[in-house]
This record gives sequence, structure tokens and C-alpha cells, in this order.
Amino acid sequence: MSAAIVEAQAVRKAFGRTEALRGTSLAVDEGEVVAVTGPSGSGKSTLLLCMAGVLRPEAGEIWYDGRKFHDLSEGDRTRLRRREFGLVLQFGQLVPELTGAQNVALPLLLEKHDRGAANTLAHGWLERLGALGVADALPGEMSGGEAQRVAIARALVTGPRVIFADEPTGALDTVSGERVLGALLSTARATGATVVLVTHDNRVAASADREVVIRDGAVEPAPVPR
Amino acid sequence: MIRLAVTLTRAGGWPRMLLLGSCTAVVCALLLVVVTFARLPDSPDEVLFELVADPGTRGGTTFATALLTVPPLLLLYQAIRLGTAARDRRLAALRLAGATPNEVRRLGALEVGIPALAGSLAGIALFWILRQVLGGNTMHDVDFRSDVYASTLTLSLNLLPTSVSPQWWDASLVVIATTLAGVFVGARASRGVIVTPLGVSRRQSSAPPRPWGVLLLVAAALVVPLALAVGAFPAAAGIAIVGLAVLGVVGLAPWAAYRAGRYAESRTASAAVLLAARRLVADPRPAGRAAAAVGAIALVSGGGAAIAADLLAVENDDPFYYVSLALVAGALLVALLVAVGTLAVHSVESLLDRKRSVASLAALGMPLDELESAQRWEARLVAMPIATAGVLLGAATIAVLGGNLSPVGLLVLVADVVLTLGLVRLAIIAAVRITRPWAVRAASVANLRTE
Repeated sequence: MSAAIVEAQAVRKAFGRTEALRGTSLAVDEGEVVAVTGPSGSGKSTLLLCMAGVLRPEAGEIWYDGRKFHDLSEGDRTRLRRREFGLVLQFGQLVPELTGAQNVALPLLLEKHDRGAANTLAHGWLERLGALGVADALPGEMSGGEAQRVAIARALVTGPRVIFADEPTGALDTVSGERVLGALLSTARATGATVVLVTHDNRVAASADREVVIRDGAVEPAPVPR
Repeated sequence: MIRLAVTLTRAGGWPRMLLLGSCTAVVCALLLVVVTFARLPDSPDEVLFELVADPGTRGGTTFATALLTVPPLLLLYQAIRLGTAARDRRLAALRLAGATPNEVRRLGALEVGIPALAGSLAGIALFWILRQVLGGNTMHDVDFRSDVYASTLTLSLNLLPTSVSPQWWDASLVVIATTLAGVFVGARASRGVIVTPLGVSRRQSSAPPRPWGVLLLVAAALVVPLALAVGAFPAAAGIAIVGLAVLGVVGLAPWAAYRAGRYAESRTASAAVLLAARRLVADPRPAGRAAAAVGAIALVSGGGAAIAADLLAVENDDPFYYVSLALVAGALLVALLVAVGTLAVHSVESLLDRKRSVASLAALGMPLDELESAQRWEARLVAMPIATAGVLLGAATIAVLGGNLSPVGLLVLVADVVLTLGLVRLAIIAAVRITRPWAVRAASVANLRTE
């Protein structure tokens, strides 16, 4: 067991005959912001989804706060993701039929929160992230940057200990990307949340406390300390 | 063009093609039965159940048979919508390859027309099989002294005339009509789709559905005093009332879906209900049409129960009526099975269309049970109110017309309402359970990264 809040130990994951992760290890401390970088197809998103408990590795272990994912049932892992983790993806993550506020309130409703309280919290987070203007808009009516702010609000609304973000600015222009990243990191730092951020953008990686490079499914031998 | 359409049809997958063909086969077979009834002389040269043999009741039986085409046509509508995202991408690729908008429209029509034509031709075989199973006996084959023959129940299986057959032009017309109906339903299902070389967009109808079905229900209600004013209640009036009421319920379904969605959205604190309600508000027409058959079935069920209640009140013990009602109940159960298919196909289509957001919800921590619950609520929010309204309307109309209601009859009515709503609830559960493999696939992580 490690002192890190979330840790991947010698994780292997394959899709058919393609090996995405080849014994990859990564430990992330509480409150740390780690950027995972690497070329396309290097396995960085697969590592993030394994660490978030979305994908189950074929070999190796994922630890979270002293608990081994392998020992948890599918239901327990799902509940853990909902209560302790926030997930931000590149695109297509908002429910298209729900308004911005409803999308943000959804994780709270899943946790059986009161409708009014969930709504108030959702509006509060949207305001904090500068997206209150799209509270009543559908995702199809939002710009890419607005949709990502709503997605970040949804990831943060349950007060997660770890935020996993997979190319959160990948589909945005430079200005929108910087704003969205700024909103994500400043809020995470303010709440003390740990962030694992997958990106292929050096400027995004430069905002993190530490950068880890993955190539061909394995972490590069010398991670760059910051 | 036809070769390309065949390739496109095959690309849509065998299950979809089989479903399209099966629907048109059933519709074609039922229409051939209708044609056969129409060709039957007043005094048929064979022994048939009274519902068909008696010219007085034959009109109603013919109409009821025609009405049975509604559930498979609604299933056809859903089947055509199945996999529309992949179909739209194929058509957009054709536009990019140089096909004109008209050529793409024709290809789209042919893509549905080919399995519809194959199904219609198979419908002739299905009609022949039905004739073998449910055909009447010729006078020479019947021993009139036999006890078995005397049994009304046995006679009730002699439903299809064999002494007359549809002529080749009848069959050709029915096949053409059924195929064109398939193409028309396909065109309706693809209405608003704009295929450009760079992709496909949909003209979203900003206006919510209107309750125009109420007009048909009012018209059905107006037929009652008009017919009573004439004197004896003519069979044509009964047919008009049932026809208008069924079309009214089917027409009201999208509006009911929209209103039910709005109502639930503003009150719920459940994530599953919120998802279901918002889906209904965003796209009420497909969900409404999927549930429409349930409403029509409930309407006829209520009417049937009211007739049974009336018979009990006047102590009529002629087995003909009860066997006829049992036949109607059997037909309704078959129609409900088709409706389960319609609801299931709508569920699958809903999952395929939203697989990325479903996968994202699963990754965020929404359990599969909760996702399935949302699917169930999407069907339940529309089907249950429509079924309740349908069964009560059917029961009330016939009860008012009959005017006789005994305590036992009232019990029959209440039992029918409870049974109908229970069966509709079971149908919804079954429809969503059938779609579990698609729900599991939609929630797959692989869908998070598809673009």
C-alpha cells in the first residue's frame, strides 16, 4: 500500500491485440496536480480511465486511499466514482437533453439529494465557473468552452477528492482552452482536490505541479520534476 | 441505383431488415384477410364462425382486422428509425461522393422499400399459412350431427374463408400498398433530416406536439347522439366510434408524451425520472408513437370489458358473445406483444442515439440499474397515462351506450382496468429487460472516445 491518494502499480491493459499499458506505474499525492502527456495512442487516456476505476486492468493494481480497486465490486466502484471522483472528458459528456443546471445537479440527484438543494448547489458552481448564463441552455446551444465549464462544474459539485480530466481543452481554441483550464485548476486548488490531467498540449502540462510522459504504454524513466 | 440501395440495406444489418420485413409481412397478411372478407358472399359456401359468416357482424370483424395493422405499422416506424445515426452517415458519405439530394432521397426510399417489398411478398405466404390454420370447413367436410362441431369454441377457430380467395390483382394491389406504406412510414421517420456532404443535421421541430387527437375523440363522442337520434344504433356508427377513438388516442400520444415529460421534469428529485422526462420533452414524437399502440389496445380492452358487463347485466348466456370477446382478448394480447416489440425497439434506438452520453453517465458513476430505470420511466411516463385514459374511455363509452350495469358487471370492469394496466406495466418491464444487452453496450467505455 502506498501513501499516495491514488496509485497505479504495474498496470497492464490491452484492447484486442493492442497493448495499451505495459506494466505502467504512477503514484499521485493528495492535492497534487499531475499532467500525463505523450503522443497519440501512447496509453495516457487508458491509464487515466484505469486509475478512475472506469476500466479494469488485466494485470497490476490500482489503489485509492488505501483500498485496492480489484477488491471492490462493480457497484462499489461505481459509488466510489460518484462520491469521490470527478471526471471531465474532451467532448460529448453532457446529457444533450438536460439543461446546464440539470447536468450539474445530476450527480447530486443520483446521491438522493433534495431537488431544491441540488439545484441551488448546481447554480452556485455554475456561477463560480462563470457559466451561470447557460444554466437554462441545452448543451447543443452552448459553445465548446461553456460546455466544458458546465462539465467541470458537474465534476466538482459533489466535492470530489480526485478529478480526472482527459484532454479537457482538446476540442477548444487557445483562449477558451486557457480559460477552462484556469477555471479547473484554480477551483481544484481552492478545494484541495487532486487532479490527474491527460493532455498532449505542452502549455496545459506546464500548469501542472508535475508532468509524467507516457510512451508506448509505459512511463518514461525520468519524469520531469517541477 | 437498386444495386446501391441493396448494399445500403444490407449495411443496415440483418436484424433491422428482418424486422422491417416481418412488420410488412404481417400487415400484408392482415390486409389479404380483409380482402378475403370483402369477397365473401352473404351466404358463404363453407362453415365459418358467426362473426365472419353473418353479414351483419362481418363489417365489424373486417374493420377490427384492419385495425390490427396499427401495432405492426407503429413497430415498422420504430424499426425504420433504428440505427438512423449510422444510416445518416452512410447517406452523407454518398453526398460527399457526388450524389444529388434527390438521389439520396430515392436511395433512402429504396433502402426501406426493398425489405418492405420482400416482407409484403412473404405476407402472401403468411396469409396462406393462416388460411391453413384458421380456415373454414366446406359443407362437404362437416358432420352437422357431431358434438365437436356443435362446440362454439371449436367453430371460433374457423375464421378465414377458404371458399373465396383474393384475385391476383387483389394480392398485387395489397403488396404494392404495403410496400408503399413502408416507404411512406420511412419518409415520415426521416422527415426533417438534411443530408449534406459534410454530415447530417436534423430540423428540430421547435413547436411541441398539439393535442389534435382530441378533435377525433370529440368526433367519436358526437357520433353517439347522432346515431341514437337515427334510432337503432347502426353497425357503421360503432365502427366509426371505435375507428375515431383509436386514431384519436394514437394522435394524442406525442402530445401526452410531451406533457408527461414537462410535468415529471418540474417535480422529480430522481435522476432516472429527470433523464426520462427530459428525453420526452426533447423528442416526444417517437416515444409517443411507441406508446400509442398501448393506448389503442387499452381502449379496445375497456370497450370489450364494458360489453361483457352489459351481457352479464341482461343475463345473456349465448356462448357466441363470450367466445367472440375471448377472440378479441386473444387479438389484444398478440397486439400487446407487438407493442412490447415497439417499446423495445424505441428503447434500443434511444440507447444507440445517446451511447456517448450514456457511457459518460456510467463513467461518472450512474449504475446500469439507474440507466435502465430511466429507460423504463421514459416508456412508463407516456404509456401508463395513455393506457389509463384509453381503458377508462373505452369502458365508459360502451357502458353509457349499453346502459346496463350490474354489480358483477362493475366488478368485471374494475378487474379489466386493473388487468390491462398490470399487463401494460409488465409489457414496459419486458421491453426494457429485452434491451439490457444494448444498455450494457451503450455504457461501454469504448463509447467515450468515439468521434
